[in-house]
Amino acid sequence: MQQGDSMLSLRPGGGRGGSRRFAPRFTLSSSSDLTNGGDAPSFAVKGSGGLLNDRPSALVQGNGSQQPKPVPSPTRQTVEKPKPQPQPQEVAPPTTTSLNTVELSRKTNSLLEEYFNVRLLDEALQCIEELKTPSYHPELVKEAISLGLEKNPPCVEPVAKLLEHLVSKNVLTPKDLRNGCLLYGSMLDDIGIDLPKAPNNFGEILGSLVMAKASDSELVKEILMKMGDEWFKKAVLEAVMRSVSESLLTTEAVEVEACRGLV
Amino acid sequence: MATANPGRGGGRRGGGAMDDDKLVFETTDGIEPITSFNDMGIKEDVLRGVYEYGFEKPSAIQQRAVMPILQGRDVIAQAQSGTGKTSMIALSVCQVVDTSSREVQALILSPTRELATQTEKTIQAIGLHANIQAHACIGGNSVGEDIRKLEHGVHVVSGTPGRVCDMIKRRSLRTRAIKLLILDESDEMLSRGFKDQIYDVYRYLPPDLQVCLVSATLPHEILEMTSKFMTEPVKILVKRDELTLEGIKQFFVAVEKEEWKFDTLCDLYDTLTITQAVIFCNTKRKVDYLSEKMRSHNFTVSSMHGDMPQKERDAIMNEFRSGDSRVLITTDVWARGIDVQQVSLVINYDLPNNRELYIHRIGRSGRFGRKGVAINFVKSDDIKILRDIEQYYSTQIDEMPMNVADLI
Repeated sequence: MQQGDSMLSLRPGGGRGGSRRFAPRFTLSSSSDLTNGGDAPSFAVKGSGGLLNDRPSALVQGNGSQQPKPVPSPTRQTVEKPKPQPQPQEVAPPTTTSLNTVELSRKTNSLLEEYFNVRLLDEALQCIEELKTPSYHPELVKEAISLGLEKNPPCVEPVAKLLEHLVSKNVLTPKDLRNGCLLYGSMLDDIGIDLPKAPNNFGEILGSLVMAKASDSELVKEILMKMGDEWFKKAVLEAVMRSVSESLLTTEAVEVEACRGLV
Repeated sequence: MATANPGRGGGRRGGGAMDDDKLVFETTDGIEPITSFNDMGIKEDVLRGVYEYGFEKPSAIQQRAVMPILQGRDVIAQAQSGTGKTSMIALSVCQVVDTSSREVQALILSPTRELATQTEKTIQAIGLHANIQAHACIGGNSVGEDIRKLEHGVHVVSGTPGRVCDMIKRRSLRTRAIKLLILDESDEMLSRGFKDQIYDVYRYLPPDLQVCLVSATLPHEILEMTSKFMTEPVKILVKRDELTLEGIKQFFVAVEKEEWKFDTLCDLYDTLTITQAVIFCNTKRKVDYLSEKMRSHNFTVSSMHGDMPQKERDAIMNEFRSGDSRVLITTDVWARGIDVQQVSLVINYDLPNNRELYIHRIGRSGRFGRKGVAINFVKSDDIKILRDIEQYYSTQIDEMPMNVADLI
């Protein structure tokens, strides 16, 4: 019974339904937020960036019991603080750069875990925009695939939906997507040892991306060239083929044959 | 040193012909729980590690599974995570290992690198004074280290079946001295696709091997595996304190619109602070928005979500546990970790969009007593979700009465 319950609650269909149901509702919520933002000056600051979110939260928390009036002041001061920072960071020593990368990685993992939990595409999109670090996007793509496929059952469809959504909203460029997939593909020989289903799942994601026109079979070919394990390469390609429609296979017959030649 | 199972021998593996259709799991009779570590015949150095690790008394699974393992029996333990099975494994392994030999003597297979690493750390902690050397093979950038560690010599190895198999095939992991194989979370390993790798690893191991299998569930595929790997296994069942909705009074408030949730929460604030209350939102941005709005209206609240640095989260959690703050706004990611006894009121500001999450937010386990109140804020288009939850859990969620404060 426990097994059955678990399967029921984790059914991909359930996840899809949840995604369909909740995304529109959050749109209402988002609208509501905007309305409330007009009433509460402090809210406007929240939307200005992830880093800012941390600081106002800590400050406001410390002043939790104070009158409403003082609230804007600490917030305003905080807004001024970050302005000088971009300049020093550009010439900062490597340790600072590493720290920033660590922070980015932590925030990325956090927002992805939340997305896999609640499946709200626009929420994830806004969290990613708040990172304000486009150069990190290929890494984010890699992490989304990696985290999603580590779960059991693997979150194949949620990963594909997220990447497609981000590309369609121009938050991710096609180049970001390509480079992120290549990053993951170059690790797949090792990942597959600890996650036997990962090559197949990754192929399914690639197939979905091709179908959504977010990517093409050229990328599949590049990934296969980066991989070494023949068994894994075959698993990826077979999954891509199963995920891509017959007509598209015909259209890209030349590329498909090129991919077959790599396996 | 544990002797090999007397029932085995002659290099023959697994049982003879056995009708797979009749595979069934029945706990073994006559397994008396051993209620003190001192009564288990544990070596002094290992015992010291056990007490330093924080154990004072054996958990249910330790009481029942350790002795059969030390006696060299094959064991099937049906147990979920959270029952102390990892420390049971670590204790057993530390006791059976002969530290005068620098060869791998025990092998533990896990479904994930994280669990393999956790197992390694637990063995190192309990085996500290006995000088037990354990290594988790995790691959990636650590392949080189994996190889060096294994070649230098360790007593215990943990890893996923795929990783262990890879190390064996590279001849970095020698299997000739392995006498104990533990398959941890076996049902999870199978569902992750490790069946072939497990059989591959098994084929490399010595014929007089002792096998212990731990699994939360025992589907047919697992029982089939046990019939091939084991001889007359001791069968043990240990149950975790389950979350339950029993004794929880559940209510809903029909707020109609998202923006009316806030007013409803303000109206309830005095009720919240009678006890300690947790308010669940679905996203960290909603947590931030709600906690800031509450504070700007002069309400005292704490908030917590994954974007916060660990130190900050720890501080908030300590504040809440100690009762210094009485209202915590958070997301599901933390639901499983909020085991504060004083919490007897939970508010679902947002309904969870996954039915399974509902019990993690609201359910209580036996150790805290089964009582409390849950209030669900329901928008017009949430009604169906609420009824789905009711049906799924066979529970009842009524409209919130005016005197809800009296029920807490």
